Amino acid sequence: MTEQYRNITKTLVFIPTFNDRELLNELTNEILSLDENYDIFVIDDGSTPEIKPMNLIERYYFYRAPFNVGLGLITNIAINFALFKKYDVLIRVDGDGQHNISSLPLLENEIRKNNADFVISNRVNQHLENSLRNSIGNLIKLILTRLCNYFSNLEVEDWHSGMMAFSKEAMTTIKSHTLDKYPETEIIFFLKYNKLKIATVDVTQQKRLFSSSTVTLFQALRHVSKVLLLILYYKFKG
Amino acid sequence: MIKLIIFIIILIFVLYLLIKGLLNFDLCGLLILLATISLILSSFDVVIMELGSILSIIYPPLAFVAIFNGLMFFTIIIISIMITESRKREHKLIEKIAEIDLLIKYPQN
Repeated sequence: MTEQYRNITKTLVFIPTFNDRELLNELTNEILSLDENYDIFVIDDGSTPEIKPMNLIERYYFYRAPFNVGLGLITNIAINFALFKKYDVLIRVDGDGQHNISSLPLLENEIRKNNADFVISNRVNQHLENSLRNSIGNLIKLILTRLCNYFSNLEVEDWHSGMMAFSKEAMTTIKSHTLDKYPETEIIFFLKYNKLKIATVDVTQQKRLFSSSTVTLFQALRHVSKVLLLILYYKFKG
Repeated sequence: MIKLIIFIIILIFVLYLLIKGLLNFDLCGLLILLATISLILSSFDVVIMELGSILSIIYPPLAFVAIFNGLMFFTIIIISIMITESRKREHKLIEKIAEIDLLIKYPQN
């Protein structure tokens, strides 16, 4: 019996960034040298001072949002661009250097070989940092993960991971949906609701070398309330 | 008991607006939070008495208070729906501007 693999010829890796500039060029070069089918799309989400694009002509795209519009809208822009340029897969990597670039083919392979429509990475070492902020954060994330899994019938270990891959089907499905700030959970719920196949891949997370997390206590509380409402929303929607 | 029923009615109404796409998650969360705080605070007589004395209400006729609160809630909901709608339009406009910008910068081969 021959296995039917999905045909992937072009992959777009998009890096959303808000004031993360130190590692951007290094990340871009690393991704471009990883695979010749990988193109890069950097979106500056209104950083101050603005991020200068690299002087690359081939396989490199750059866009600067007029002001800080948030990750949801940035993701919408990247999806529209990937569909316009006829990419088969869109992978998101954060610009802070925490994501291991060598894991990108793992996400792509889930789409190619296992016919997944959407792949979210599971950061296996995210609980290792010992600080009060991290411990509280991890506890809240654990409770939210259990709730999300229970109500969605999924087995996703990391609902808040920023490293994710969309197949063409997932991009087409999500194209008309308006994504909010911090859209990771919303994307998973939306694609599950639309009966797309969701897979996870274990990855290791690297230590943040520059800058700190942009998530404040207020934003964290807002996110918790949003996740709880998302659960209710999709529960009522069926 | 009546307070709890009012709270549940508000909750159902707000969730209905969310599902219909008239309210976004942020404002919906805020309204539920406000309703919860009101429910908790109204359970304590001390708070009600204190609030009454601050607002100089000695004997608030029930109908008047109910209508006033209802109108307040209705106004907040209407404003929330308007904010949600304008945010949606802003989102779509920025998305469209980005699409045109990128089309000009990187035309299809």
